[in-house]
Amino acid sequence: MTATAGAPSSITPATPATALESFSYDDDIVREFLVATFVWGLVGMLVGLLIAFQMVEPGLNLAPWLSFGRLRPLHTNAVIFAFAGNAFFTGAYYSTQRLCKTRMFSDGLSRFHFWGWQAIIVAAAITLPLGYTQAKEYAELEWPIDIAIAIVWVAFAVNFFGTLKRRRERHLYVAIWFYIASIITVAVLHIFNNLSIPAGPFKSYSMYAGVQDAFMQWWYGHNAVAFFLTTPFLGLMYYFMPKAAERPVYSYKLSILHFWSLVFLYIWAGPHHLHYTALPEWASTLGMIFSVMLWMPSWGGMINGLLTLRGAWHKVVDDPVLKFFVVAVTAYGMSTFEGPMLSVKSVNALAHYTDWVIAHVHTGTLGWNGFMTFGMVYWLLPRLFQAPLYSKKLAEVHFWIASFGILLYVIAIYSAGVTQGLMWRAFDETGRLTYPDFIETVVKLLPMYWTRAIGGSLYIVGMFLFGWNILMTWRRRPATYDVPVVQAAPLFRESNEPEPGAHPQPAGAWARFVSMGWHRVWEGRWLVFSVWVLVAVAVASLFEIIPTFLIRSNVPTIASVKPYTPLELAGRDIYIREGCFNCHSQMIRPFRWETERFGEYSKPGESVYDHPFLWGSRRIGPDLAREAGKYPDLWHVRHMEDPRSITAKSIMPPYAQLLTNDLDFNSIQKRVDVMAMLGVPYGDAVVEGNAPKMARAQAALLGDSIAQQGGPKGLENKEIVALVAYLQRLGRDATQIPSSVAAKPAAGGSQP
Amino acid sequence: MNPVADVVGASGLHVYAEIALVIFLIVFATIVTQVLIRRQSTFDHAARLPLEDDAISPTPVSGIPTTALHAPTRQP
Repeated sequence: MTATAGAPSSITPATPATALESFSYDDDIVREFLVATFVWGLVGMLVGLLIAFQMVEPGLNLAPWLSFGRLRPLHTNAVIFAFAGNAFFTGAYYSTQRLCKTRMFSDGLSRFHFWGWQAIIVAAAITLPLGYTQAKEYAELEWPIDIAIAIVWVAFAVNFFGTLKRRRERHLYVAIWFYIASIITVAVLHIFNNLSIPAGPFKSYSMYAGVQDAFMQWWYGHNAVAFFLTTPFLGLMYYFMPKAAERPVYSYKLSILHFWSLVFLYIWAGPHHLHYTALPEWASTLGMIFSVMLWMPSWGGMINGLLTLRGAWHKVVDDPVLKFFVVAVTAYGMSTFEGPMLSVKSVNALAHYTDWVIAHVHTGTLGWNGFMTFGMVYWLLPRLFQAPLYSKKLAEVHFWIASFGILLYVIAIYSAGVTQGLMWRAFDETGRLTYPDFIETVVKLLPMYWTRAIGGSLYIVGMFLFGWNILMTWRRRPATYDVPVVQAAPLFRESNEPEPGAHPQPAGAWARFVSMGWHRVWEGRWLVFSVWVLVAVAVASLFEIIPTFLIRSNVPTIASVKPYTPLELAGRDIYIREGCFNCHSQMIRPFRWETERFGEYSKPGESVYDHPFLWGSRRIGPDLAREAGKYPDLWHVRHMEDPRSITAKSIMPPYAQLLTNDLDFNSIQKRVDVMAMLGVPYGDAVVEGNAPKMARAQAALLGDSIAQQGGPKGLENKEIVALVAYLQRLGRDATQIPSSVAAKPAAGGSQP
Repeated sequence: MNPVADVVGASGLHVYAEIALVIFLIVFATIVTQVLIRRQSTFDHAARLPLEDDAISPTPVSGIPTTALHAPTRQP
């Protein structure tokens, strides 16, 4: 605290005449983040549009680095971390300074945060299309970028908490609480999910394997949604909604409840992403129960947001800002009703692996995150650029076009999800699958995919109008921005000050406890408050995660499951590089409609050597957990070269380059060594030079086998042999399929 | 492969996980009930914070006077 010399450290502030401090807010940083929000939002959404069109027209997979499997993670990372991330920073830098009545702690750290974050986004935009990926959803970026993210995030945290320490308003407004929870939890999630051992400059293997890796990933994945897309934006809602409505939030009490409920409950909900998989059942049930519990506080928050407009609904009619906020909060309510519903196991059985989940996500992101951002930016534009908004009418058009776009998008994709889910489980009267060919269930969805692409296009048209409005408002800015000087009294010994207008503290420990005096102390002290948030998050995480790691009975081992051969491991890395896991699951659930179609259901012991796990979350194509022996080697070669020569209506991208790319045998030793370091029993393969030798021997056999089946010669040193070797291994160990696949005829359906 | 797993697996530690879950829920329930029984008026100052931050308050609401030498920014 910068106490004026001689100022009494009394419990009452000194008289204003002597104690006022002058300062100004750093709005340059807010302007920078605002522009970045728009630019990356447009880029991320255009990539999304491209992959939406690739799903109806596979010819649009124009080059290896432009294929669906590589661009899909670019889309998700760009819209989450670049668009929503920069939007959060825009609002947080604007509101934190004002709520704390102080400038940011360090302008240097603010700049470092801004440029560091943009550099990370650029790095992502380069590495993901090049195929550098950890294969974990929303955590695809490879280890050097992960380290950079951690550094930039810590810089942001130091800057943010330093600002809280220097604040001139004792009470931390509820929006700040949401920011604190987001900053702390994202750091914890990011660090623990990305623990890995490097096997090259842009290649690493997850520390965890199989079930544990899946558990960590969805603990991360769900909470990334919670603490990157939900709590930061709730903070924005609690600040900008009252601003725009010009009245305080409907119930501050409800906002406190909302906050603690989310912090306590969200962290347990992750396992609902893994229902009916090889995850232990207790974990999945726990995830379901906590997810259902989340419904109530989330709706409390939604109602709180909407009722903030009490008596101000007439303003909604002519204020596009409020229009965006109303739809955003409604979308929050819809997706937080749907989320708990989807986490109920029986609903999840239908929805999992289908487009239903994609629709759910887009209600949240397009509606909640997108519209919160648009509303906030339209509110900020005149204030930041110190000129009237270029066109309110254009903002209105943006609102209506984007709203219509969302509706088209989600209705089409909900239909697609339910349709495909029902087709997968349909049996005819003779007890056989009604749609045994997977492709039938894909072709049926194409009209809905077209509608989705049109809906998405409308949303992006809205983005262009948004950009135009930003640009034209910026052009009206004054030659130099006015920087108002604000004055406020410093805080003295914050903890001893009574809350202004507070009720007297009751006597007696119990009475004080009941009166929530302790909570008021937390609210005033950022450090104590932050520590409690961290405790709530960490305790929940530890007690959910530790048992899966330490109690062996949770993952029964299967004696016949052996590590991948060096060649298969290289093939697995190609599978990861091409992003195959974005469309193909490797996890058969214990339902008859699944085992009839794909074979015996997956066991936890099968993926004990899978660093990382590749269970997948969406089946745009069929499951591959029992792919071994289903088709001859040559079938795979032809299928990779041109999927439509095998399945006329397939929407899979072609991978002809795998037949011409040389396989990098020299890198295999390093990969095997890192796997061995992680505890995978590789035996002699770790002896220097052995792994490539073993890989070459297996590749030669496989190359011969392909040539004998009438395929091209000379594939034994190409990437395709490694991938085929991997695909022909999937599920072999657990089901004990004989390894001489070459002689086996193509078996269309299920396993023996 | 993991001797710790054997030790922990045999030690019956899962009881602690269940106890932790119960404590966790009790703490959560306490916060919820305590917030619920508080008077709404105790939050009035906090709830008005976003509305006061860039305007001059003619009468200091919070006891901490805030003022701006210039008008904050032009409004739309």
